[in-house]
Amino acid sequence: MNSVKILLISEEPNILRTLRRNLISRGYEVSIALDDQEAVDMVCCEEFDLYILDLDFKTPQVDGLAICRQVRELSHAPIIVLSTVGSEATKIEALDLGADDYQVMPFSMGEFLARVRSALRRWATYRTGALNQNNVILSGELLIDTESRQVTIKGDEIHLTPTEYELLHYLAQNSGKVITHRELLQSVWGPEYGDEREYLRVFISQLRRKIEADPLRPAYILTEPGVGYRFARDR
Amino acid sequence: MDAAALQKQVLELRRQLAESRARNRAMWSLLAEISQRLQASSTSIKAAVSSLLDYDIFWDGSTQHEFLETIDDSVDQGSNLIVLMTLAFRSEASSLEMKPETHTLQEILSTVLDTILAKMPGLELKVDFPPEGEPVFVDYGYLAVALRLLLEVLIEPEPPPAQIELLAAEAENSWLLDIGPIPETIGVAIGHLCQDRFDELLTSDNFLPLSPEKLLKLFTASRIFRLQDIQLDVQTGETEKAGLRLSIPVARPGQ
Repeated sequence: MNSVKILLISEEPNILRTLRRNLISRGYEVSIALDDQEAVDMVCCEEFDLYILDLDFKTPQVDGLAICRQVRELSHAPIIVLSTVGSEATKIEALDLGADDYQVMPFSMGEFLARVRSALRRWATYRTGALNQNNVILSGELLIDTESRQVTIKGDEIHLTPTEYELLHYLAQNSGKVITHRELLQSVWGPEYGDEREYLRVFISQLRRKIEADPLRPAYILTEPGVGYRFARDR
Repeated sequence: MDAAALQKQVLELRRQLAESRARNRAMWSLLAEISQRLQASSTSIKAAVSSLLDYDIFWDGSTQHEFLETIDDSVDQGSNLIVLMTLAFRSEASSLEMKPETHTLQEILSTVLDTILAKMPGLELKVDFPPEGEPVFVDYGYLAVALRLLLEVLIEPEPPPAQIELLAAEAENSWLLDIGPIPETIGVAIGHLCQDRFDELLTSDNFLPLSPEKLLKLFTASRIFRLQDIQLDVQTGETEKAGLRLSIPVARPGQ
């Protein structure tokens, strides 16, 4: 029995019905929240492995992006955001507020389920701890303990979301090597990804804000213009 | 024409131009909002169809039926929005042609109320109109559509109103149709529409509780009423709840 718990947040009954049926049929345990209040109440009293949030609320008083922010404040589990708006600005806003993935509607069920599996893989890795021969990666004042998944700077613990951690870990594991955007997306988000460069822009900037002394002049995560990113070796 | 008069005319033209631009912006932004709703319908359809087409799982008969129901319902939703947009934009482009004829108001009201009750069977409607009276001179089809749109907006709030009252009474040269009670926001929105201040509806915080779909319904209904010389007013009393009054012209001799 699969005990993976997913919370669907939307007010659109037809979308809810179809997604719920598909997820339940694949063994997931699915709960539904119809508005912001219900979503927050449920996140507070239950632990979910994945949140799927439809941003496009018809009710003008309900703000999908605000729900995204509230859920992220309460939980580390991945959030997949669904929206009919495909503009880069909205995607970046949602990612900035804590979403891990952004699916533009309409979509086929196969594509949607692939994203669900990717998000859950990342979450499972985060929860169980990555298997790594070397348990500690040290660079300058930054220390990554891959067993406890703790990141510290000068001994102070830095709180990273699962996706931020995976990104930092992958770059640090390959320190000194230029990692292309595509490779980074496929390694962290999953093999279905590759073109979502705005995800990297947002997450790298979040990471820099957390680990760099001066995020505008980064010392750890360096940009290789037009290619990707490189983690500085031997600082 | 002296310089001062010319200057006054220029200022007036500028004001009209600014109004027209604001109105256009409002219409386009409303169109964008409604298109987004259409995307939601197409999302449900695509998700349900692609589920049925998936071969990695066997769907039993009842689940297949559930997906088909979703598709059916989403197609209806999408198609209603398209009809609404068509009406709204035709009325804005002045290409909505009314063909008024003499009809009995009672018959039109019965048709509309049947449609509304079919949509919301539990709704309590208090209807009071005399069985006879002067015929009205209206386009039957469009008036029925406008009344339906108006009533849909009134019955849609969550929770729905306990009761909607429709009272028709004959007055001099017109029928007065009172509908109520109406929520305050809808009253204010209709007040703006009556004064042709449509663009303000989309920029004012007062209207946040009204969805774009409801705004478009009210806009379309008010346009159809105007095209048929039907006057729409918001009635507010100090102690009573607000209501709407439609003054529908009776047929003149020879019409």
